[in-house]
Amino acid sequence: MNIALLFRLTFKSILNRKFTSGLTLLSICLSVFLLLSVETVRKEAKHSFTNTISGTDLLVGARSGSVQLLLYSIFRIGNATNNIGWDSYQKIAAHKSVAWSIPISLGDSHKGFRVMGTTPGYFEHYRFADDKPLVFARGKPFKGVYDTVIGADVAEELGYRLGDELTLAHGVYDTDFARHDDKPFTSVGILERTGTPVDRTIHVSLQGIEALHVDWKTGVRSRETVGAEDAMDMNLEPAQITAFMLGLHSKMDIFRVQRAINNYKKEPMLAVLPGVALGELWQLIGVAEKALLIIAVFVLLNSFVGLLTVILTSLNERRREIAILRSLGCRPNQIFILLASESMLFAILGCVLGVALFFISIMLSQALMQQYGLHIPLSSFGSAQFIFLAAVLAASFLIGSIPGYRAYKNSLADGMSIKL
Amino acid sequence: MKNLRFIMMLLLFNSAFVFSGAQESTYKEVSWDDLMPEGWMPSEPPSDAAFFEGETLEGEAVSLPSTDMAPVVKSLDKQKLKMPGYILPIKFSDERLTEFLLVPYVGACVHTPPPPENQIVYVSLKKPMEMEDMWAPVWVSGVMNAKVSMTELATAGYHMTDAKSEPYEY
Repeated sequence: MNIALLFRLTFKSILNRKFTSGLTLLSICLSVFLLLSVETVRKEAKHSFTNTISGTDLLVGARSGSVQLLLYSIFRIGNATNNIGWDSYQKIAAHKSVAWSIPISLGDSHKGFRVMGTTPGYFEHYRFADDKPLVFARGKPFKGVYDTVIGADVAEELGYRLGDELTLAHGVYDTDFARHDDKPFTSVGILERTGTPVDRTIHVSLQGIEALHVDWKTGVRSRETVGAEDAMDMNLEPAQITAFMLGLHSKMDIFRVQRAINNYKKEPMLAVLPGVALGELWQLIGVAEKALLIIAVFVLLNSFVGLLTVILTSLNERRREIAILRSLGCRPNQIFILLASESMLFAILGCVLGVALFFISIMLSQALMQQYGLHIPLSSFGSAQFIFLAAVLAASFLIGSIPGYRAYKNSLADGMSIKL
Repeated sequence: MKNLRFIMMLLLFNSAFVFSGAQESTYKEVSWDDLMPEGWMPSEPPSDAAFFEGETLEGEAVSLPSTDMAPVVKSLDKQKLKMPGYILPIKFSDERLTEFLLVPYVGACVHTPPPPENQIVYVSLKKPMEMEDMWAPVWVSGVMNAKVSMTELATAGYHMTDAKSEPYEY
C-alpha cells in the first residue's frame, strides 16, 4: 500500500462523513482567517502609524502631553488643548539651529474633513513613510488667501476637482448655522494618496484661516460681515497657531532646542521628538494589539480541539474499518499515517480556504478600511503570515498523531471482536 | 546513527555562533567618559531663557551665549566601538527603527540640562530593528565617525554607522 493510496483512503473516509467534516473544516478555515486578519490589521495599523510622520525633528504645541500633542497635530484626533502665540513661533523658527519650520493651525472643518492652515513650506518639508515628500496629483501649492489644497480622500469622497469651490465651517462640525459661506475657497491642488491623515485634510494658508474668522471676533458672526475681497485688505497675520514642526540643521541640537522650548518663559510650550511620542503611543496601543493576537491564537487552538474531538469520535466508529484494513495487510504505521494525514488534510484545506477568504475580504473591505486611514495592500501577506500557516500545519500534524497513535496501539483483535 | 548526525549538526551550528562571537569582540568597548577629550571641562550650558529670547524676564538684554560645539575625541574616528546607552528613536523604515540617538541617560529625564554634543551618539543601524523599550539600556556596536565640523552629508559630532544594537545585560 503506498502513500498516495493512503491519502485517497483518507479523503474518501472524510467524504463519507461530510457533515461533521464540513463543519470542522469551516471552523478551521474561519480561525485561520481570523488569525491572518488580526496579524495583517495589526501590522498595517502599526505601519500607518509610524509612517505618518518622518523627518521632523521636533513637534511643538501648547503644553499638554507628548502623545496628546502627536494625536491632535499629526493624526488630527481630538482637539488641541490650547493654541500658541505666533510671536513665540517666529522667535523659535528664526533660531540659527532651525533649518525649517511648518506652522499648523487646526480647528475648522468641511463636511467632516479637517481644515488645516499652514504655509506653502508644508508641501516642501513635510515627510511621511521613510522620508517621502508630498506629491501633487494635480495642481500646485496654494498661493492666495482663498486657495486650498485637498487630500486624496477629500477629492475622492466629495468628488472635488481643480477649481471647485468649497465652503469651510467654523468649528470641527460642519453644520448649517456655522458656515463661512460668504468666503468660498477654491481648490488649486490635489495631493497624491499618502495613506496618512493628510489624505483627509483640506490645506489652506494661515491667512485663509484668519480671513475665515474676521467676522467671528465676538464669538458669533457679526451682523455686518466683511466680504471676501475686503477681508484680503485686512491684516491677516495670524495671532495664534496650533502647533508647529521643526527640522534642525543638526540632530545633535535636538535636546538643546527641545529643552529651551520647554523652558521658554514667555509661553508654556511642549516640544517632543515625534519618534519618542510614537513609541509611547505604540506602547499604549501595543497592549490591545497583543491581546487581539492572543485571542486569535486561542480561537485557532479551540478549533483544533474541535478537530481532535471529531477525529477521536470517528475513531470509535471506524474501529471496524481499521480492523478490516489491518486484516487485509495494512501495517500499524500505515494506520497511523491514515489518521494523522486526516488532520493534516483538514489543516491544509482550512488554510487554503482561510487564505482565500482573507484575500476576498480584503478586496471587499478596502473602501471601509480607507475611512479609518488604513490602507491594506494585497502584498501585505508577508513572512509573518507564512509562519502562522506553517505553525497551523505543524500543530495539525501533532494533533493528528494523537488519534493516529491510539489507532496504532489498538490491536487487530480490538476491532474484530466488538462487544455488542 | 541519526542521533549522531543531529549532534554533529548541533555542534556545527554552535561553532558558527562561537565564531561570530569571536568576530564581535573586535569592537572595542568604550565608556561615555572616553568620548570627552582629556582635559576638557564641560561648561555650564547657557540659561534656557537666553536661548531664544536674548533677554531676561525683567527685560534686560543679555548677550546670546556662543554655542560652541563640545569637542570630540578625534582618535575615535573610524574605530569599531561598542558602548552602552539609551535609545531615542529618530527615523523609521516601515515600523522598524533605522536611526536613533544614543544618550548616556534616559532621554526624557528633565532634571538636568541636555548632554553636550560629545555625549550624544547619532546611530545608523545596519539592519532595521523592532522598536525597543525606551527605558531599557542597550549595547550598541558599530563604526564611529567623529567629525569636527558639519558637512552636507554628515553632522558634526559622533555618528556611528553600520551599527547593531542588543539588549543590555546587567
